[in-house]
Amino acid sequence: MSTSRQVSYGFLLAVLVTGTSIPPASAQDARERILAEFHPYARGIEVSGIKPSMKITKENAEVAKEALPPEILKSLQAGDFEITVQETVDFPVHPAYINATTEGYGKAKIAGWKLAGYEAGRPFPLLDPNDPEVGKKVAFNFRYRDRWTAFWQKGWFEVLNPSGTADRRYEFYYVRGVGMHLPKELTSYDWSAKGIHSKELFWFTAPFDVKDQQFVQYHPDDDIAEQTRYLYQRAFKRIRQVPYQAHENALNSDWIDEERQGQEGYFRDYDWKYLGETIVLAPFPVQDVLSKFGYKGKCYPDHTWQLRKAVVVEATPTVGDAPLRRRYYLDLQTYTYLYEVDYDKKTGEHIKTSFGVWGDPRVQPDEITKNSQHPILLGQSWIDYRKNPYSCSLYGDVEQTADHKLDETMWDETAMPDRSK
Amino acid sequence: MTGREWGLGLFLAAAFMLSTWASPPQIWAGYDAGPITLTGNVSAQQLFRVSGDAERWQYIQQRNTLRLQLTTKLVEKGRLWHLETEVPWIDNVTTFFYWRSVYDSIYDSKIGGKLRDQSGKPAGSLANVRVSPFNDEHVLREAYADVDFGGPLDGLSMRLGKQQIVWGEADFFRSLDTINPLDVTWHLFFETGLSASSGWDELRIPQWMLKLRYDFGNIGPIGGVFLEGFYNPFDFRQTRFGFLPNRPWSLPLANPFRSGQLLDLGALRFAPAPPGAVFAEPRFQLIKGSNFKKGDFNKDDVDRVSQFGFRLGGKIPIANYTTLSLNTIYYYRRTYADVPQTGFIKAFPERATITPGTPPPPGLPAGAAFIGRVTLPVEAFFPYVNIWGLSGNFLEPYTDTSFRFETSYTKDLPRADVGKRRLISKGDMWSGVLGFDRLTWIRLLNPSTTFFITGQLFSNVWVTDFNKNLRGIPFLPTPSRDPTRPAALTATDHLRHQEFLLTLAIATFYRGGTVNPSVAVFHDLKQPSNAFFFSVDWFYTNNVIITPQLRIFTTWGHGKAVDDPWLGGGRNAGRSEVGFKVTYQF
Repeated sequence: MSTSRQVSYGFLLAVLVTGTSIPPASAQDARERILAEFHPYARGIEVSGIKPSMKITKENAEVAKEALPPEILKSLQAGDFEITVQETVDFPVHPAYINATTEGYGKAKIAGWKLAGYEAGRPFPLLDPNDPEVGKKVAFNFRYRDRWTAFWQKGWFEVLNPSGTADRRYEFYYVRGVGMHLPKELTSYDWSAKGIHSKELFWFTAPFDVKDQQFVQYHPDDDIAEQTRYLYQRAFKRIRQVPYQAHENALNSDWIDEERQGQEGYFRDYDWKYLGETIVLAPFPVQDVLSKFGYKGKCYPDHTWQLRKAVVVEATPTVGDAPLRRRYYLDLQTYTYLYEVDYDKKTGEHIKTSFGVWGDPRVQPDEITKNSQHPILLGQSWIDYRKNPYSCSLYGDVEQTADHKLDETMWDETAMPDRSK
Repeated sequence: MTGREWGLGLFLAAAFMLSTWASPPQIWAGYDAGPITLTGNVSAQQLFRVSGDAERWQYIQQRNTLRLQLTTKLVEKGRLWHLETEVPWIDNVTTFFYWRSVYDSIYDSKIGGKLRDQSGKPAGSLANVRVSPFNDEHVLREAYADVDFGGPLDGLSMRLGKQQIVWGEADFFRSLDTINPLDVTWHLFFETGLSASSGWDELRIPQWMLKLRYDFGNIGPIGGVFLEGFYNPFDFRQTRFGFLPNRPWSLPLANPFRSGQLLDLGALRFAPAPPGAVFAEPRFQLIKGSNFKKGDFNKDDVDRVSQFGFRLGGKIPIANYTTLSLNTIYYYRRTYADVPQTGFIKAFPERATITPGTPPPPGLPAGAAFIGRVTLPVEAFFPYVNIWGLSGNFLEPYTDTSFRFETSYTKDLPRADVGKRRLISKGDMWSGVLGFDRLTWIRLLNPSTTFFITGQLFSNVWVTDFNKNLRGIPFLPTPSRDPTRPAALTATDHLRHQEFLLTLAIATFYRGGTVNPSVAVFHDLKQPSNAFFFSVDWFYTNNVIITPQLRIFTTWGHGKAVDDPWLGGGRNAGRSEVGFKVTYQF
């Protein structure tokens, strides 16, 4: 039986072959190359045998061999899910973000686990595979991808059993604000004085046993600093500050806490290795208003997939309690997290696959969201293959908006009791 | 509607809900009709007392509870009911109503056997308890409106109505979390709510209050500065307590003020007799219109019962990215008959009358004198006190532990004092708690999810006027195993100058969050008093929760109950419980 490392060898080779080496460039040259990074589909995209409107099933799965990680291909070959291909959608990020990238090019320097000289935009738009810090730079590009200044969502989270029904289902509001390193014209908040990059609120609304439980989490800009989490417990009607454990399975589901939106824990807990660029099939950007999941165990995104240029980076744990070596597939145009394949950090065994479901804002009904030009978080699935039959946990949406100016008390922990009923 | 009718209705509702067990799990979270949301649950809890000589597997509670919570959004984003009508200066108005109906069939079924109090003395039987008013409760527990102001009033918010207000950092401890009194007839303090939807919020008695809050934002280096105040103009409520046998899961005592007892007059320090020499049969007569619910005042008289408090809070940077959340607090309120150690009976022995010729009850000690029945006027006494407090928390990054504290100083707190003619005196009390919260890996027991561990050390100290005549409960019956013999009331429940209590609680999640066990330990550092609580919330489906429970109270072989001030393992020794609750939530 081959290990996952052996199985993935061919695919990785393809990844490395398509990786680009960036020679030193003049300012004008650099600007053009940066713009090319944000518009990677100007010359189209193609993988032999994959055409729009085609359906890829276990019968013709081989056609996707060059466009899927071997672990996902294996599930496709097993008939666990199917892919309907659509035309690749060009999804340029917000012009202000692109401008900030070109204007700030060359200024950002890695200083430990934060950046010096960085203001906004993509900090390292041009990557050199020979740069010893290139993996870390990809991580920073991922972290400082183009995002909304405020995001509001009515969502749900399900822990499914192998039959695809929910053992537990939670409903909540998720609200996120970003207060640092956004272009000025896109920023509603300024939290730079406190060094807070972003803030999150989770407010559970159902079922009744968790109703009105809330937590607020602060993400410092310096990744060395601890994230702060305040929990409101309805049974006590009291706020408590609790330590943040990035590496535990939240609510004992298939979702490790840091895996929200790809990586919301500590980048510092990993050694980041750049594996190159490649072309993948991915359900991004989703052309539906809401996330949908289906197929085996209801675990897989049920949207059309398209060919995307992707950056591949591998994160190997450097701390004891981080259990997985993670391989991220990031959309080159937006640095949005497409999916991730995770391995046991000791044995190398494939353990988990997680799919991000990010929407195209242009199909959202809300006018401000429609014009926001940032990828819209719709959902995520986490499939744990250790279990037989395997099952998963899902995060989905009911409604969302981006870039509405939200009151800052939304992330004030002392306001949680008044919000609770 | 009678209790029986309510009970029947609840039974039918429960039967309907539980009939859904046979069908696949329903993913339906309450009734959500746009601006109106209705949620709640219905539960059935059985409690058995499993220790004590005559009480093994005694069935002491069969409580059926319906909780309904209705939320309406009257104004949202400045518009009334999602209409185009704009409401000036108001961003949001939400109303909330929480209705709780309870029916306990234990009173109708008459199953209960003989009960015993903390000293082992017989304390009646549930079979003889009058059914009403103990078998049901139907109450609008909370009803309030939240208003977020906008425009020139931006930053101001208000909650008006029947509500709970919880300030401070302690769990299970009455230092700063004292704005609302407690209902210890619900289940003493045993509903801890570590992993459940309800805990102490079911014990506090909501009151009609106005709460205002203003957020200043950042002021200099201090972030999130706010000022909050509450005003309770007319809704004075006292701690609600129940005695044996009416409430077998509340105080472990028969009513110490009942008639037919013997009072050892030597227990009073000013009495001219040694203990055990002279006895009387007391009859306590509440005067000045006071009772256990109020003092010598009309409990809704604005001039006599108004209470208020405020707190000022903010976050102070103490190190790189580490902040100390700090609150300063002040209350001006009347006292509650509270845990620990608040006295509330003021006696008037100079107005006592003796009815000579009363035949002595059986059991009078040999050689002791009996002076007859003594009618002693007493007043329930709940004076105003000033309370100053400070609370805070911070996350310590090296141990990855959150530390919290609270401290309060109460001026002129009344306590029972058998050295005083009024049987009461006042002193200043300091109380405080140091606590920690930590998420800890114990991979041997749970390889994928941490254990939430929270620990606390409580203490209170009589700062002024401590003396050896102070008592917790002024008179307690002396132990007696003879059901025909009335207990003698003695004053043995000594207050200590300082008390300490340790608590430790642990909770985690298994099987995708469908099996959630929790453990809590209470240990009194001053005397052999210990309690251990175990419970598991097992989600049979997303809507149906089965909760087995075990509560062990022990004095570690001390042999009898001890008068611990926390109403914990000392007083409840020999009264351990097994519980089983089924809940359907919607």
